[in-house]
Amino acid sequence: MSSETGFDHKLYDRFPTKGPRPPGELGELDEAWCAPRGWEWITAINNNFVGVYYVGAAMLFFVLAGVLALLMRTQLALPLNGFLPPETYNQIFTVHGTTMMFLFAVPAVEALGVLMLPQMLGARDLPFPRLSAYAFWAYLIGGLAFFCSLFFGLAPNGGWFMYPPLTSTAYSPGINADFWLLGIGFIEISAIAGAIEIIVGVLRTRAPGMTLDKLPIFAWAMLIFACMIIIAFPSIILATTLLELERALGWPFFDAAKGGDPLLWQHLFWFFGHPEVYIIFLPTAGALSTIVPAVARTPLVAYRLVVLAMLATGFISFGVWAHHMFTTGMPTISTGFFSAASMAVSIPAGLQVFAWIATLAAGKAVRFNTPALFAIGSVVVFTTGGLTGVMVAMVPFDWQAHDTYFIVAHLHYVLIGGMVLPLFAAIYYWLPMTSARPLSERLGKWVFWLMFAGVHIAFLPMHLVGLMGMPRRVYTYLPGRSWELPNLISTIGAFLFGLAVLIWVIDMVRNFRPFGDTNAGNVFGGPGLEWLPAGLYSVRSIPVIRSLNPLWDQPGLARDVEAGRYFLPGTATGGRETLLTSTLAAEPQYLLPMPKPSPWPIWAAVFTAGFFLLLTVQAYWPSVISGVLGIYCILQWCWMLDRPLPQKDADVGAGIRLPTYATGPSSHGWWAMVITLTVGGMVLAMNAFSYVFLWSRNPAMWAPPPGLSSLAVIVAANAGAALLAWGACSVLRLGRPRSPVVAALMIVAAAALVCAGWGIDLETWRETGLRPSVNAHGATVYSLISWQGFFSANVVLMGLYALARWAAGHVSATRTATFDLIALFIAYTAGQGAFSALLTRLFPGG
Amino acid sequence: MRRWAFTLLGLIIWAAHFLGVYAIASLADVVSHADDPPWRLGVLAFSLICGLAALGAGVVAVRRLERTDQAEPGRFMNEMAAVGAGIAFIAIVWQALPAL
Repeated sequence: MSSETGFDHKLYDRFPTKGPRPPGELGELDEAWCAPRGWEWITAINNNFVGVYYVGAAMLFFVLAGVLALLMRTQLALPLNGFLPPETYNQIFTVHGTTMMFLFAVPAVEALGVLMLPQMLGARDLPFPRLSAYAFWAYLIGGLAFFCSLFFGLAPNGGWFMYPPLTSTAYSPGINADFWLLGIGFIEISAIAGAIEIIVGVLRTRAPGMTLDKLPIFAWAMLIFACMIIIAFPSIILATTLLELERALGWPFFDAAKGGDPLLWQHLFWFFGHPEVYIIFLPTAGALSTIVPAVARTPLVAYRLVVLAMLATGFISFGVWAHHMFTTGMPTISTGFFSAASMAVSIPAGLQVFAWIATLAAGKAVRFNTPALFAIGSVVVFTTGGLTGVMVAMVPFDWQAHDTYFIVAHLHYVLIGGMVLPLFAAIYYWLPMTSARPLSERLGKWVFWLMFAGVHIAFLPMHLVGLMGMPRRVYTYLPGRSWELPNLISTIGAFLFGLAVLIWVIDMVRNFRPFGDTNAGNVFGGPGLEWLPAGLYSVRSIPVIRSLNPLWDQPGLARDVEAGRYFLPGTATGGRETLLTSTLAAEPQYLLPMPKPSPWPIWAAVFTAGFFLLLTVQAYWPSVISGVLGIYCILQWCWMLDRPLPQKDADVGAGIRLPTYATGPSSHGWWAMVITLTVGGMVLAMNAFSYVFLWSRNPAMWAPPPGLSSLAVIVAANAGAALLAWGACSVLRLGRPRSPVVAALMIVAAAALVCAGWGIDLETWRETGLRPSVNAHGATVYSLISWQGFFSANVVLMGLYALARWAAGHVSATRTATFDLIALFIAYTAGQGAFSALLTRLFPGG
Repeated sequence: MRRWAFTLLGLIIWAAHFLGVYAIASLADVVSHADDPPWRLGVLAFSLICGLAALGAGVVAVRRLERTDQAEPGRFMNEMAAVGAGIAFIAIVWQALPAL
């Protein structure tokens, strides 16, 4: 590959520049990225602040969920113990699992990405800092509200995977389950927002020259992690929506008496739930692949194979969901396929483990400091969990161990070894980057050894007690079954682990000093860009990268970066900005102006959370008002977008000029929209799967569809909408005086056509007499129509927004990004509407 | 996007194979019985096609690698494509074994 974008690579030779930098350049940079004052701390949006808030919130939930674990272990320490009543115990184990998985594990690694990636990639910030802020505040508010339900006896009590029919209204009549369904669905939206930010950030904001083969392994891991979120999380969003629709409106997706099937929930949940394990594991594996070379003082062995292993893990993890369902009576051959895939997934994970061991073996005088201890300890614990994972991948063994404490032991070994211990390694390793003081090595070693011992003492006996027949999720047990001693030992181990966390909290209170002008620096001698001298603007100048380990291989890099001898040594346009580079070769493409702190994303998060929470407590009108306010805040936020700067291009260093505006496939906004639509497409795909699956359970219950004439009209309306939307962009680009108004009207017409197609689809189904609450056929058809209705409503909103932009004079041939993105959205919605109509009318047909 | 698709082609073929064999088994379960020999043969035939496709992707990637004028990240992506296709081939064979 010579050049991906036409950028002349010889221009890189101009760096590092020579001669003195202009006076005042650094001051302007400081001024543009100045620290928030007073209440502005809440409205801060750049990653130095939001990243720290985000990691802090995730660790808060870790501590809270850990306290719940200690309560459970106290209850189980003795047989027939009366410490917790059964209902409270059920709520506690449900909230413990849910909090650990949804409020700690995924957000913690996402937060680590938001905090670390800009510095690691040599960017000033991720491309959508307001989206990061929105994701964080939505997560914090939603998470705290969910957790607090415990204090009112309203917490869910159906286990962290909430299987129906236990969670149907028949067996869970209160609003406890609704807290889970709406709360988790909402929090997943925040996770998806973060994932969009990370994907576009990794692909588009890398330092020039940081080609894919020089991409830090942690960034690779975060990229794959975020892509997996985009593919997996729509499934849980759909599942929670369907179960909530069943509970609130009686649409029988999971009610076998009406043609539904509870197994549909299991398919949808585990299509998300199993990749979730790797979603959690991959970023921390990326962290280990960064930390191990630093402590071994040698490059990572088999970097390229490790990247491939992570990619393979990402793919294979989507082929193992049904290994959680071996006992549900699937066909033998299907269990065989899933069993084979479950064994295969251990190979790429094993490859990474061997790469770490080989790196340590090849290292020059490995330093056994706290990050190294956590890294090595996590390999031991994770490998143990992986081995029992291969055991439960064997169908006959799984039949025996299913729903016993053996599984509890296995999943805790995997999650603690694969996520918690590596996360602590990452915290000890990277904290000096954000704090004026590193954490204490002496206390850190205490934390490690107590945790390492605590894990084994708590969870090793659970394998035995599981094989002795102790089931999961029991609040007590009878004496005389030889379960007493292993349970008592497990409780002691859990408290040892808790003690370790307490010491870590004390250490954090003593030493963590973020947001200062200085940091502790490269304490562990790491080779990545994150260790360059940095301020609130990230790096002083954005370097040209020529190595995978730039600080080891590019002498003088830190000095030249700090002296402003690379790209963007100051502010090229007087405000916040960063470089946007190409996806493969990281060639500079354009200068991205970055937003200043704003309250709108925070208010949007508050009102979105309010919408879901008020809906949960059945305060419908306040919920609607909150939703409308949320939309208003988002529109206010969007209104400031797509405002080109007066200067069309700017000097980004060494006389290289780049444009300050971009649209179409080369722009970051286009990428974000495509990823957002991929989420929509995945929900549609899972909805279609639900439709076909429920048909396969009970084909006799399926009613004939409406006539094909209506299908032709729906498809034609949607095709017309797509053509109009694209036509609007072409008209706008003509640049004629009336182009803006014609383009805006074409967008409105396209929106009207989409709505017409949706209305015809809905009405023709209503004419057949099929209703959503009658049977599973009706429920799935109306579920697809509802999903299209949601998109159609957004299209209407966008049409009105396009008109408002035109009325305010914000539409012209030189600023087409808004219309390009709206057209993309409308074209997708039109395609989705046509697909839904085709599926429900042609399959299985009349 | 085409370069990304080529780099990941082997793994994409593997994913398509997995979804395909699951779909064939599920369809068989609705129509007759998933373990019946004709359906197993269907799985094997589909696996053969996917396996050959993975091999083909691997051969193309290796040929690209043999060109000496490769610069980064092109070389890196072709290496990923070649090894990924090899892994996919093995995974497809492994995945098809339950149908034998």
